[in-house]
Amino acid sequence: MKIGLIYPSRSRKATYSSTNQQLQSFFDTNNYVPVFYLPSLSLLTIAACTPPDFEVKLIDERVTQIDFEEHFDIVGISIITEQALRGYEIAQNFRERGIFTVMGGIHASVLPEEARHYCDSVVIGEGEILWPELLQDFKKGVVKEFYHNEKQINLEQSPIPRYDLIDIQAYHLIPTQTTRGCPHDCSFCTVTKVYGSRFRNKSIKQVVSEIETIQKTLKNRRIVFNDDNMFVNKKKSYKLLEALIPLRIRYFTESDVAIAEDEKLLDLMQKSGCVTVFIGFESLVPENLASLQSSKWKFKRLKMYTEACKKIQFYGIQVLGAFIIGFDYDTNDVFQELIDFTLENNIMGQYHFLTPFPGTRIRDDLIREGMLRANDNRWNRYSCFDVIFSPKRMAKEELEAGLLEVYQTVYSKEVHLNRSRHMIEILKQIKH
Amino acid sequence: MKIIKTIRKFLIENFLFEEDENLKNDTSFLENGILDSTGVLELIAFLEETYGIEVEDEEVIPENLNSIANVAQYILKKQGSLK
Repeated sequence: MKIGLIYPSRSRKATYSSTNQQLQSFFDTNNYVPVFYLPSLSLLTIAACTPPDFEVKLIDERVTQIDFEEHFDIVGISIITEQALRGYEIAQNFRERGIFTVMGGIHASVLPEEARHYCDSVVIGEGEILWPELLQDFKKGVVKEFYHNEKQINLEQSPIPRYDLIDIQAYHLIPTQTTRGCPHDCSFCTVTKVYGSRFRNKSIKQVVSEIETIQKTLKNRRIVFNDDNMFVNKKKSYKLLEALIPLRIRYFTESDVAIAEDEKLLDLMQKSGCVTVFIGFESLVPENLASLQSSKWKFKRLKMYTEACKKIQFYGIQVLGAFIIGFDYDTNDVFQELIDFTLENNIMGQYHFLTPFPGTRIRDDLIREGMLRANDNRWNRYSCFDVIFSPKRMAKEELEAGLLEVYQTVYSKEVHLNRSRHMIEILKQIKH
Repeated sequence: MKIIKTIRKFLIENFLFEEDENLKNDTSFLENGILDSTGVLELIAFLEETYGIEVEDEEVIPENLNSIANVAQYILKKQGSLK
């Protein structure tokens, strides 16, 4: 039996896409905005959970066209919100040809009834246990409409992803994962809803095996740790990073700002090959940060943002800060504040519009306040670079013009060269 | 040539981590994924430290930094202009 695992694309320029023509044109032509082209770790993992009597083909629509005439017994499609409409089109197309279609991924997990309308079965939540169960049922002819995890999986039982299925020419970074979950439960984020609040780790042996597999299979040492927040458990992180050192990789990862409070961790990050860390700063406006979590975790750390950038860079690690625009307390001043912060700290930035993804508290709040239609399903626009709603203190046009100005400034040649020179001087000091 | 050996050693120690027969003197760093964007900065820092030169902004171009041969030629040119 043959399975096609498909990762749909809204557009081929998958890292940044916007229906705003000026923004899209900027993203298409600028040479300095960091771009990450990765295969889908979810589908590589699902492929690894597939029993050997099934043949698996991985199709990433961003890099290859789907042949709708190809024979499959089952087509599995993973979607995040921005991919949902295209995913539904693909599912319907195969379904019309009598092929059994399954959908999963964050969007299908949060809106399973919607996804079920376009496919035969929906996997809700983590697929490691549910997918083999579904395949067993398929063979017996008793497939259910929905497969739902009763509890979170033990991450130590997650198999090594099928890296052998990757077309290595198509990607410049390879994803793996050491943890799942994030304790912060921010109002705009679906991680806690989908993966639960309990933070889970893979074993160190498992992570090392995965990286060794990447090195053997793909001859590649440039890794992205696709964790939601990699270093939450500091003691385990020390041990993991020590184990990574002899593997001699270069990696990109994601963390909260607390890593800057831990010099031992930063030292180990540097020694183990960390090149860039993505940090969700979210906002520079205290009232916005205070509204993100009941614990006010990020609000309490706002005052350390500048020092944190400095400390992390001191270890030769570049900071890619993530910022969201469109919170209740954002005014037209927010754009210049973001530019100033980015330039003063010599960091790279990713700037997004606040996007009310299904399953988030922020979506519920906006619907309750009448700022968003409850049935808003313009999923193609949920790219983070399209304005979905007008926030309290700014109009749509102001947001679009402001975001463009931020990107044009931060990723101008002059600023890029200044930022590069800043890092070069740090790297020279490190060699001493 | 000593410069070629030095650059090759730097690349192997910091990016490839093992001897790679595919790394020829004219192999493109960017096309073959040998250097990422941070890697380019590390290379510049290394060249400035090792050869006592300053890589000017306008010199950060593929013609100077995209292969071992390019880098070696660029270093020789810079050293010549320093004399």
